Amino acid sequence: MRKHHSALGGVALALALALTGCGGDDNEPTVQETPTQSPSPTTPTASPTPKTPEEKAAAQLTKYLEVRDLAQRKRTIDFKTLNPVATGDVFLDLQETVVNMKMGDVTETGSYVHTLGEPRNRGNSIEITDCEDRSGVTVKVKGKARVPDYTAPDGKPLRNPAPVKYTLVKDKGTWKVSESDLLWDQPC
Amino acid sequence: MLRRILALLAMLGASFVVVIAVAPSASAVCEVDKVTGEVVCDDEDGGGNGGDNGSGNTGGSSTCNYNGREIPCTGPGGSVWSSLHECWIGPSAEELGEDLIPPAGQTKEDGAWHVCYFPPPGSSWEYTWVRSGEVGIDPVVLAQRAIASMDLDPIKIGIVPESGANRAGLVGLPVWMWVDSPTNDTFGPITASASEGSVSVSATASVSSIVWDMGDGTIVNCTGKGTPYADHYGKQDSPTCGHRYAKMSTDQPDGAYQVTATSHWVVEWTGGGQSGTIEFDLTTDPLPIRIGEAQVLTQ
Repeated sequence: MRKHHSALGGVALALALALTGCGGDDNEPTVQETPTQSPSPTTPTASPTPKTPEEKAAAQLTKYLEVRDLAQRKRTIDFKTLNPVATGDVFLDLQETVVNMKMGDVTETGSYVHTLGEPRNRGNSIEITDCEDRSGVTVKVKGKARVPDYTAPDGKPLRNPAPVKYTLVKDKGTWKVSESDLLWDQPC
Repeated sequence: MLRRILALLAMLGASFVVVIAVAPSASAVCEVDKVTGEVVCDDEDGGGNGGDNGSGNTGGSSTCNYNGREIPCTGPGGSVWSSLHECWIGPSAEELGEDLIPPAGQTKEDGAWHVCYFPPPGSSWEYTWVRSGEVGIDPVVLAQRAIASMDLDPIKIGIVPESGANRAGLVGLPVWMWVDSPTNDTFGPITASASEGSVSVSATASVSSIVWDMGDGTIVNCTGKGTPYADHYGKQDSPTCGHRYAKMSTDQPDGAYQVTATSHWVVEWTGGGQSGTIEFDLTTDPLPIRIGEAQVLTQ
């Protein structure tokens, strides 16, 4: 598990995944995209470059979540940062979300805490579930805080934290976030 | 989520209201709606954002082209693709609460600043100046207007045995069916155009097949006009579109089989930077055909 805003945590996860071979289905071989050397047994002193597809996908998802959270806070989109990390439905959904927030006078302040689960390599795609904690986020509609912030389909306040499953696909050689699914009825 | 639902509605012509009960299935994809605060789900199997390039009988669909690939003409929030701007044109700046000055030489009567939704990759999140009439006109709507102007009709049924009080066919003998005196507006091809503002759509319609309901429970699908019967054919089967009745029609209402012909129209349209297909059916009024047996008819 890894905290989105913890670089060291990210390093630890990446290294742990590389060393244990964890990062996909047990029956699926881990695909090595480029020839690499075995991980060094020495303690890393700087952020390592992601090596496996799972590590690369996790790193891309982390970047996407930063871009998304910033876009929602600022209610604008910086395509220079979004283009490299998102595609498909997610790419369109974020644009629509930002526009709808402006139209509905919805603001979001504070920071999410993202804790990524183990990537699951599906071959053509990689799934990663983010345990999204929004304790530090305040949603306001026309300047008034909305409580609860979100309501689940069963009519109850949406649990917090809540798991969100992301699907990443290869786009011109780069893993990009393509789909998201809020697993509202499941615990993290 | 909303985008997918709106896109689907737009593709269906939005001529009816779909009531969606919130009872997400195991395959539902869910996300939060930032505005309403609700978690909304849609069914992965039942949605689709314009990926379906086919057409049913519900008004047609359209695909647009961008960088050599097909994309749905309807984008996020029901926005409409603009080939000129290479994005889906979203709400105006005014709808987003912004009062922006028109570009030099333009007035608010000439157009408006709009959000541009980009397919990946996006370029600029700046508002785009869209001139009045440039977008917002759904070419599918124009295609439907063009079709309406064609004033298409069902075919005129050609059939032997003929219909009439003193006419009857015999059980087991060939029945010939064809399009009688086909015209452009009963069989096609026929082309018409419709325009609004700077957008013009051209549509060409033709009948792809005719489904004959013979009234005895038999459906005969014929792909062409059929072959008109002539006396020299004698008791031959129609080479293109025929049937044989196995029973007399005496137990039918009014003592006759009620025959209808349904022509399936396919309309290919292009314009406004888009193209698509619209399909629909036109059915004739029932035509009574009496069928008897030789010994009965001679009594």
